[in-house]
Amino acid sequence: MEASDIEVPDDGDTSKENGQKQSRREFIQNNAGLAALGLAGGASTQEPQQENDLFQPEDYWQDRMEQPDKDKKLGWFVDTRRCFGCHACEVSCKSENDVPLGNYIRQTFYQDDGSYPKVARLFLPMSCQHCEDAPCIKACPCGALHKKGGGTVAVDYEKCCGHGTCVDVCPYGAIYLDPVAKQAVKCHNCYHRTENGLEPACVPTCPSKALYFGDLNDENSPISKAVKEAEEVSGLVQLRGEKDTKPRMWFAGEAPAKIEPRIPAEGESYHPDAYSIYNWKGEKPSDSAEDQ
Amino acid sequence: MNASNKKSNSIDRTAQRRKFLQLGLASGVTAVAATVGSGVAKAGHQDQEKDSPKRPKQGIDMEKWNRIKGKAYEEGTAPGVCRLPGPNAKRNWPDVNKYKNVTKIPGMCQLCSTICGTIGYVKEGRLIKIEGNPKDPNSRGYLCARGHAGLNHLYHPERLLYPLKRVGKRGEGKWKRVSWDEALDEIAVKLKAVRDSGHPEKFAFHQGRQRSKDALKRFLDAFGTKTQLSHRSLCSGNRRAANLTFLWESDWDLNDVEHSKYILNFGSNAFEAHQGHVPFASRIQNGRFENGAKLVTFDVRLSNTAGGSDEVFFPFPGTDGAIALAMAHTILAEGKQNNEFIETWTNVTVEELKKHLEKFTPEHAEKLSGVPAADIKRIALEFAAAAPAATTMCNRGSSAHLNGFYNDRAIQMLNALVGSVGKKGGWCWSPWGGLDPQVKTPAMPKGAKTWSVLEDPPEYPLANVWRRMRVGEIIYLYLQQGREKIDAYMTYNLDSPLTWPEESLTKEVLTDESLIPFHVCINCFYNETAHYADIVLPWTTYMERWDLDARGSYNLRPYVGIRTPMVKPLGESKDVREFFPELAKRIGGGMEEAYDYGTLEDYMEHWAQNVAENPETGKAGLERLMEDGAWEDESREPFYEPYLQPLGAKDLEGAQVNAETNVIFKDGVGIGLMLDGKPVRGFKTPTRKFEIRSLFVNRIGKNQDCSDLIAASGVTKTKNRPEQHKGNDLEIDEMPIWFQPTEHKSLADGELIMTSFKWNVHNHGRTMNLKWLAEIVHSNPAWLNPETAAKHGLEDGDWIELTSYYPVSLTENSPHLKRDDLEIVNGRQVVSKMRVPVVLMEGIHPKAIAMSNSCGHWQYTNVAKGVKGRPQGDLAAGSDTETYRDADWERNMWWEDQSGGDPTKWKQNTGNGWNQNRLMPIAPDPITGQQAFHDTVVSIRKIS
Repeated sequence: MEASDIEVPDDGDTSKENGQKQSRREFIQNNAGLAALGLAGGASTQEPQQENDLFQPEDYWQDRMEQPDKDKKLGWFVDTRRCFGCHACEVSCKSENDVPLGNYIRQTFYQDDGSYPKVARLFLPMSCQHCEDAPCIKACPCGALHKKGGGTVAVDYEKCCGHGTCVDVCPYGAIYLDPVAKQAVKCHNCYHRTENGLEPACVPTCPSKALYFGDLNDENSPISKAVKEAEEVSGLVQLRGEKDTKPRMWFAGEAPAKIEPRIPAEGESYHPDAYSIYNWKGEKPSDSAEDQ
Repeated sequence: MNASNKKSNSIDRTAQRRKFLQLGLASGVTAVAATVGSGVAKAGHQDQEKDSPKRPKQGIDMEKWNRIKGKAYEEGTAPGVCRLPGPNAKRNWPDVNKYKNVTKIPGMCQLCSTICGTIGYVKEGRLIKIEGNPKDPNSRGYLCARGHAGLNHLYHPERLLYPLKRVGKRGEGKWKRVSWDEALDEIAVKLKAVRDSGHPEKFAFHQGRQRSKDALKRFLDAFGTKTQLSHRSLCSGNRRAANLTFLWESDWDLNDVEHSKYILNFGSNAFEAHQGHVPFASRIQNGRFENGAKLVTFDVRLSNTAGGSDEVFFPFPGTDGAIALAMAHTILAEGKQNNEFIETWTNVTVEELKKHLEKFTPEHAEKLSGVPAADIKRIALEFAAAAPAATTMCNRGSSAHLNGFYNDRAIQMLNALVGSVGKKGGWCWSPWGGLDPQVKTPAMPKGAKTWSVLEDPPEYPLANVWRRMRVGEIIYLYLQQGREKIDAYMTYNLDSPLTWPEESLTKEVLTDESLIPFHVCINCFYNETAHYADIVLPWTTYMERWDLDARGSYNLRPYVGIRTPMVKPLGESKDVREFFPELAKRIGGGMEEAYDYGTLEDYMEHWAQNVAENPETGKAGLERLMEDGAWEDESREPFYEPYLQPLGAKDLEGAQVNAETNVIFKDGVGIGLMLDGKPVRGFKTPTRKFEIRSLFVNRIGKNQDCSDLIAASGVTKTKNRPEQHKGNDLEIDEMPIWFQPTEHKSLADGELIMTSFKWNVHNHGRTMNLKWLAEIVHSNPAWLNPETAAKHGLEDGDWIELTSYYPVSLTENSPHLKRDDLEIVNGRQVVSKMRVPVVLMEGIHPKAIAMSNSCGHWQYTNVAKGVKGRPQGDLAAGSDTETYRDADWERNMWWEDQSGGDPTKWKQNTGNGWNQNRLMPIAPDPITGQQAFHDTVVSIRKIS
């Protein structure tokens, strides 16, 4: 798609004043794209999340933005250094949640980095970041998106009517509209499993030990230990920190920075073409290459 | 939209979502037309305003909302724009009760050969989820994408559930349903006639992936045929033979990567495929990230393993052995070898090695491979410095070549030079390639004693001497050439038309009733093989049947795992354990006596009876396996340095030492080695040492009697070559050497060498029917280096015509293959032509072209064919497409090829790809018969 399709919310588009169109890629680059963050630091130094025309009045969502319990801080750590792109997490998720073909709660992005013969392949498993300041909750006109225990951002299916406003505001493209239910679907941290003593479906299957989920307030949890170690060795990064949504997903490795421009953004959902080998190249396709 | 999707033929998501919203409106929901971008969204709200005089901000009537806050919404009471979710809304999702009242049933995956332990969650008789079993000692609870797609496999709408009998011509695809009785009666009549003819070997059984070894062997031995064909030579023949040459007792190196500091990988793609896949890959990552190991990969193509390595090199195809020998040269030249290990534990001296390796210089290897000599030297010295916690790993990438036996000999020798053989973190193996020998089946019938050129082709000296590896790829050619006649053919979990080289020849022979008079196919699906059968029997999936199973474990000790029916078999599907006894009874003539063990339950009880008690649960035997899924005898030490094990007084009772060789014999069979006056086990080779020099391979190649060597090794099941092999002598070098296949020495400008590969979501021929996997990978455009593409004026998505050529070296070295049937174009024998699109990839050698296998099915369900919708007609005759209907497939399948075969209309990431094997010649390595999948010379031409 043309860069013009990747419209950046007005408030974030620094080029607006001089009237230039700016691709999301350029935008991200200009805005650093991702923040190198310590876990404890969490918040970036930027301005608080900016207002969005699609957000509902605060009164409407503030209760749903509150996590019902305060002691737990559920989050994710994705060690992309270890991931080898096996797609087990995605298919386990698909199986667990009966995700229709063409739709994805999670996807692993591939990218070949460098040129022959110095070339490597990077892998980036992506899913909902369970933002503390979740724009999807702010924008939901149905009052369906809410926080569950530990901070899980989930959809109430007794309420969701499938307006898709959440899709429009999610900076990570992590929500899709189910083609049959006509409702929003996103990662719910497999709360139906965790409440029954199981891990989220994607975690235990991972043969590379790249996925960690758990309570970041518990310093003895596997995720806390892994995060601490990664923080010391390689540093942690978060994606699209400039959106200031306080995502609860941290990454290690170089994949997030390199692949970030390909991750869907506001108004988008994970897409089948992410898997196409023609899209494994980090390079933006040339202008002459039109859709066939 | 995603910028990089630009060129791809993406579904326009904005349009799609708009369409969806229209549907939402049609179903009675008053929805706001949400669109991309804030500016457009405002317009959407204006639409909504028509219905709402109050114009609540952002679509929300705050006053109303405050009134009903905290209460459940009822029809019409939702605030603002919302009424109620639509009629198909998810309710109670995700279901917090999903995992309540479930039964957990252990099993083992069988969507590849790694057989990872699984747990099936079964609710109300239905399997609802498959997970890894943490109690499986090898796979440790991990499961790859394929494993999760087992649900697709089990509940596939096009699964074969009823026996079929052919009613049209062979290969025409006309079928009728028959009863099991009718099918078995007919098969019994045919097989009985073969058995009574005095030539039971004319019943050929041909297996694909099989994990019920005991059940197949029982049936075939009871019948009296040894013509049990396999695909081993299409897989791992050379690697196994190279290992056996060094070790004799094992054909399978188990690299102790979890404890390594250095992992030197030649062409293996353990991160995506490999027989050890998940157990191996997970341990590689543990070794790297928890033990500081470095992973260096040499491969012609950037696999995920290569791409995720710490360093990667792209050698010219087939030069792995030249690089390995140059590394050996460097290690010796720099004096970094382990003198003690070489002098004590190999059968060559350091001086002999230096002399042998003299000419294999890094500079020479650079000329051949293109890998800089400086890098070869550096990596060699890094490897040596990390020893003994250093290991090589290799697989089909190095071995599936016409020089593959020597490639692997050279690679594996490196471990001996640095003394990492059998060491923790080094290059290990175990004698337990399968089940812990502590478990034993009820008595087996006497082994069949027949001989057949199909099962033991005399031209391939190492194919069957230590183990029955056979030479699978030649069977259809030999049948066509009349070198053997068969009367009945039974295929089992086999997809040879797709997975064998020379698709057209395979189909031709399978169609020809004079060559294959009667064909029974046993399979879970109507695949390409079933299409050429006379009777098709619906087989149970691995989630509906019984096995004890295990494979060489990276824990270096044996274990026992179990496959149990997680659910009742669907339809009328049956396992061989169920219908082979029935068939044996019908054939009669004593065959039925092989099944005197009682019921299948009795059989399993007996088989598992030596499984020790779990101290925590108090359960043992079958009961323990049914609960835990696997048992590893932790009292056994991992198989490190077995050669150092001292022989005890009991071992030595009546033993004698050969004064010349120091080999200790007992009853004429070697049991160990006197080492500095101490009796130790040694290696299980004729010299009781790690045999860098193998007199055996040289002598057996020349059909010489090797009884003395076999006796000294103690591996007494090793065979001399039989009478039937006489006159088929072959010179096999005693030492690891290297040569280049003739056709690779002088590639013409524009010619490329074709390489193939597996994806991490597929096995070779049995997963493209699984929608969750096919969704990720369903197509296989040919990989080209951009530099190569530019020479041909090719860009992404352009189409080429590929022409593949028969290997000159086979014409020279294997004249018995007599391929005068191939068309000659410009003086060269052409195997086949094929048209495919290309993808430009940085990660491929400029002289290579890569196409994956697994793609291009023309049977094997609509999913594998990439066809949306339900199948019609006879091809679905054995299925119950109504009961197992998949609305998701019918509604949401998005990658159907709409081009109608017109390359100019083809859209990237659509269709079901192309069968790469169509281009592959039947190309057995003359030594072992390993199919050379990665050597074929092709030319390419742009299709405008």
